[in-house]
Amino acid sequence: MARIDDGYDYLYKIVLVGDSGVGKSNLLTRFTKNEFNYDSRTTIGVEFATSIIKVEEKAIKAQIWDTAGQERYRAITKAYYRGAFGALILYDISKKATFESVERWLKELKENSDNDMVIMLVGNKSDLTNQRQVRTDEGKAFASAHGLNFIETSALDASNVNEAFTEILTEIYNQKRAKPVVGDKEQAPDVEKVQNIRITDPAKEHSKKKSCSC
Amino acid sequence: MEEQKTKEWKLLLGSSVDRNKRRALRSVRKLAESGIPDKIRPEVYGWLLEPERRLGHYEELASTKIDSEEIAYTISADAVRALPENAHSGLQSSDTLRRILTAYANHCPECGYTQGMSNLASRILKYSLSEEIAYERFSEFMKIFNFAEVFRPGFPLLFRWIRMFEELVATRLPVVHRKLIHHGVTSAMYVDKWFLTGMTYNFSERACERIWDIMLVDGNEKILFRVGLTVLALGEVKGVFDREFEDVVHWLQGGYNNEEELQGKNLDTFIKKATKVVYSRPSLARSIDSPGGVRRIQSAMCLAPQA
Repeated sequence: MARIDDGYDYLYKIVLVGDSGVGKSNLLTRFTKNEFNYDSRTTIGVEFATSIIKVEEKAIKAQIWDTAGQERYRAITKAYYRGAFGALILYDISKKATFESVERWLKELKENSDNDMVIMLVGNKSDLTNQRQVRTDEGKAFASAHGLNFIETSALDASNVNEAFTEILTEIYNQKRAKPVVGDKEQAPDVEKVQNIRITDPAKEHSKKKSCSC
Repeated sequence: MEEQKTKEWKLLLGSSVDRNKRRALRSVRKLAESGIPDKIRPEVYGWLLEPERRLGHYEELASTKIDSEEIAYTISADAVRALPENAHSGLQSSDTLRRILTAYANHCPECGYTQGMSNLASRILKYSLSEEIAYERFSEFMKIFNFAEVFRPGFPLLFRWIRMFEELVATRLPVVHRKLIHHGVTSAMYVDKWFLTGMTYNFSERACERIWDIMLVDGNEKILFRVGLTVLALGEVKGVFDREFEDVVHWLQGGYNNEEELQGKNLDTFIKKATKVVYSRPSLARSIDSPGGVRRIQSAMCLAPQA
């Protein structure tokens, strides 16, 4: 029986990564609630929001996990990459350093996720035309060199935000359809729940180190 | 009522007995549990957090450039984002907060700055009368409440607290524990926010005031565990854990604030309930360190239904 009661056919988990302050949370609220907040608070740990879109008459529910951007938080956030079907790596087109971090994020994703994850590179804050530090063709070149999808968005003026999510969800849908999961899809929708998330325990690795003296 | 309480605090602040001896008194704890009057809170927090010896060098630490560009940048960005709405004036400005966090990162390069610290510092700044005093209190807080260890790269103490909290849930609320495992909801999905920000991230302003009053008087983090457990107990009463995975996580990440139990006069009852949770840190620590302890919980997690 199709899951009419839940209102969707497929559930795909996606993660948002990228340096602190590139606009991950605002991209998410723009997509799921059509809201933007100038003073959006720093994300601590991980949070998620959901939204349903239609792809070829199928209702696809995206469960999008928003992660803290600071490098140190990877000890916490990397546990959430596993089981994700897709990832958006965000950078801020007005801050070169956030683009330079993209390679590290890509490596981090590949080391901690399943192999066939669909990854999209997203240059956010495209409304800041006067402060641009990363040219569109630089982003494009990086993406094609690494086999990633690419798009520039602005969570502020909403341009390309829906397009970015629709594109990655469609690609995941096509990929999953080309490689159907075992079993009756109607009976068992392609639901990838986040039930395998386990936080590793770096405390053990650190317990022998002396504590700081301050 | 508030007048009477203010009077009692004034008496306490005026006494010359050692701070730690006084804060251990039952009567002082009782006074804190009922909420410290707004008027006198800055003085009480000062009494509880002022270091025995002034640290000094504030101006130098606050104006020295931080070695790591990433940290300097993150501090500037967070200083703006950590302040409560409508608080962008006077002492509670993003510039003040940025300087305090910069001074701390320079004071303790190993701690540097980790997101979440700005929430704590902003809370302390709110009740301080000068920037330098706020900095000294923040440094003292990081030290005596072990938050320096919570935030150290790799979050060593955070992960330990999470395991202790899990053990507490498993033993005190076994039904809730089972349901969460069934959903695949790990404590790391919501407890990290509580611990890293001293609950300032997703509790109402009024609840934060009450939680911090008790925490500062206690001189340790136990109230965070107590409130956390009380939130889970409330969730069970409300039938939250019988809902879908997404509803459960959203509720645990802050949805509980909409429950009437955490609003208005009911907050008193809620806080009182939390303070009644009795547990011993050494025995929790023993059970997570013993061979059977955490493994028992983790193996239970492995039994969670697979997708």
